[in-house]
Amino acid sequence: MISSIKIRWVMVGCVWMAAVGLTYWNSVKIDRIAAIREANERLQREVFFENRNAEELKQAARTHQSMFLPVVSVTLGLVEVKSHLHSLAVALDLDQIFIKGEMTRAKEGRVPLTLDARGSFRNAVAFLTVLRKYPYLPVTQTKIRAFSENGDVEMSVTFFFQYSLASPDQIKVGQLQVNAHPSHGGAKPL
Amino acid sequence: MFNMKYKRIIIVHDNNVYCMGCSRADAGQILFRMPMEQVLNDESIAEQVPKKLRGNNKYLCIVPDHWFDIESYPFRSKKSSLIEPFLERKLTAAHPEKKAIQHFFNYRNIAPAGEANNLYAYFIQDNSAFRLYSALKRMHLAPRQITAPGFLWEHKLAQMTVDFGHKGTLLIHMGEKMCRLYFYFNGNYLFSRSVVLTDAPDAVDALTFEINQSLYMFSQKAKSDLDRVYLLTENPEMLDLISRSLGRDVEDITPQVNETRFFEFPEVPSLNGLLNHNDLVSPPRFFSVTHRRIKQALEWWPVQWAGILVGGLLVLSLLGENLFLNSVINKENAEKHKTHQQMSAATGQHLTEYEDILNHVLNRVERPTCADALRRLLASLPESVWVRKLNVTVEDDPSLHLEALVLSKNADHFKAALALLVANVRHHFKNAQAFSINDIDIRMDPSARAQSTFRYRISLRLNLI
Repeated sequence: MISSIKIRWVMVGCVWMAAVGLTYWNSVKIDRIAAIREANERLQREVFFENRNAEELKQAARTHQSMFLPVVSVTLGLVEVKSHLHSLAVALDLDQIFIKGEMTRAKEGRVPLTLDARGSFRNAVAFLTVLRKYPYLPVTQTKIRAFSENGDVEMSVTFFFQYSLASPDQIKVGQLQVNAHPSHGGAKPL
Repeated sequence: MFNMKYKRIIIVHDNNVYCMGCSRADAGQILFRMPMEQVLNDESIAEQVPKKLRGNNKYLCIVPDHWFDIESYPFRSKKSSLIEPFLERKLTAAHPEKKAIQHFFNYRNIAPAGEANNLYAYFIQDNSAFRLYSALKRMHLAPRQITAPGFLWEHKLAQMTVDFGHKGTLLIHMGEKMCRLYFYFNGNYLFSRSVVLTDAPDAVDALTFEINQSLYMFSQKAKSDLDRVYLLTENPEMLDLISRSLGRDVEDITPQVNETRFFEFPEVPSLNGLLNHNDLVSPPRFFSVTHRRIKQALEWWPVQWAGILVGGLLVLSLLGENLFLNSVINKENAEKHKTHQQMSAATGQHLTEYEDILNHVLNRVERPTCADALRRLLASLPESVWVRKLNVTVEDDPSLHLEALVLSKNADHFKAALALLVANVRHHFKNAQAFSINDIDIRMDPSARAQSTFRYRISLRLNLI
């Protein structure tokens, strides 16, 4: 009889532990439902926002897209960009042009580049101004040092080559333009 | 709901232990019989008990009346939590050599008219009873309730007579060779006596003598007179004989008993007609004693089953809720999936992706550019300032470092040049409003001594955000 009492107490304990466990499980599910509903509401708001601002979002997407040059491969893209920059620098009467890509510091979608050149201060500033027209070549640092009395400077520009991998049919022919227009900024020769 | 029907009873009679059936199929059948001595002393007897009969705490046990004793104590409270420990102490103190008494007692609260509350403690006092209980427990036949014919007749008489609870009552139960006398006061069993009947002509006189002796004991115990005498006999002539010899009215209740009799016990004729189906339930309607531990277990039984039932219902309802919540989760997930598809179909991109794009574009737009910083710096420089070194950084800590040479005729011209530089910087750089001459590091140009003009080297640092 005593053992059957103990067995019944164990049964009572098991039943009530099951009840407590189920209660906890149900409360977890309720929290999950609340989270899903909140996520659904957020999604509904997003859909509404997207529908209402579709044009602006598309414009932003286009702007963002322009910040990455579509290339078939990184190496080819680098070769192309270096060649173009070299031509640009030459067009602006810069010499001793040296362009180096730091592949060890390359990340997904961008490669750090450094361009060293010599020329007049005016042309150096002009080069920097032209570089602004290439959104996929954002400049991060510029160092200019006067090294002679005739106003020539040594310039070192650090920038990124930002790219996106694409198939050959997505790449426009002549997408890199040679557009060198020396600016008339207030550069002072030495 | 928590009543249990007894299917078998154990009867101790005439130094024998009988197990009798009391279900409709085997009512009155002897399922097994063993001499009491063998039950008490032979430990291997447990093997002889059929397996289908085994099971502790499933039986009602009827023992001889003289195995019970009665004590009364004055006690004011009616709470069982106070009464039971009190009686345990009292009975143990009164019978120190019989420690098992504390496990086998029961009580009644009786308040005689005009007097304080009294406890009537009924307890098993015979050592054979304790030994028998232990032996039955070993045989897996331990009884749940233990009672005696005196209590059974008490229950029967209370059902059959009207004023049994307010009178002193004697029941004379005539058997073939034995007559049993049961004395009750205000519906409570006091004591019983057994008188052997002989075939002698003065058997009735001898019986009358014994009855009168017992009446004296009754009046001492009950402090009252006897009011009613009932006779139970198969011989109708006994009624007149007993009435005349006692000199008082005696009522024959044999026909009434015969109307309600159900169980016949050929081996124990004194129990014939005493029990019917309705009586054999646990808890019983007649007075009985249960082992203390079993009693406590039985008290918890309804609580436990209630706990299991309520818990079970709760678990079922929670399971139902769980299933319902599952269906809600599935429904919400389906809606979320549908919304995602809507978004992808409409714009091809999610808002989080747009967020990255917008952040990227904003960073680019808000970030200062080298060309712009250069342009503004060059616009800020007076005529007499010549750039020597320039460092513009637009990432991490956007700033501009300038080292330049200032050529001036004299100190005033130099100061004016610096003042103009500061004013222009403040004008062209919006976040440099606090810029002052103190922020410009001024040193003499080493080559100045060889020339007649003032040549100073200046250096400054501007934050671009």
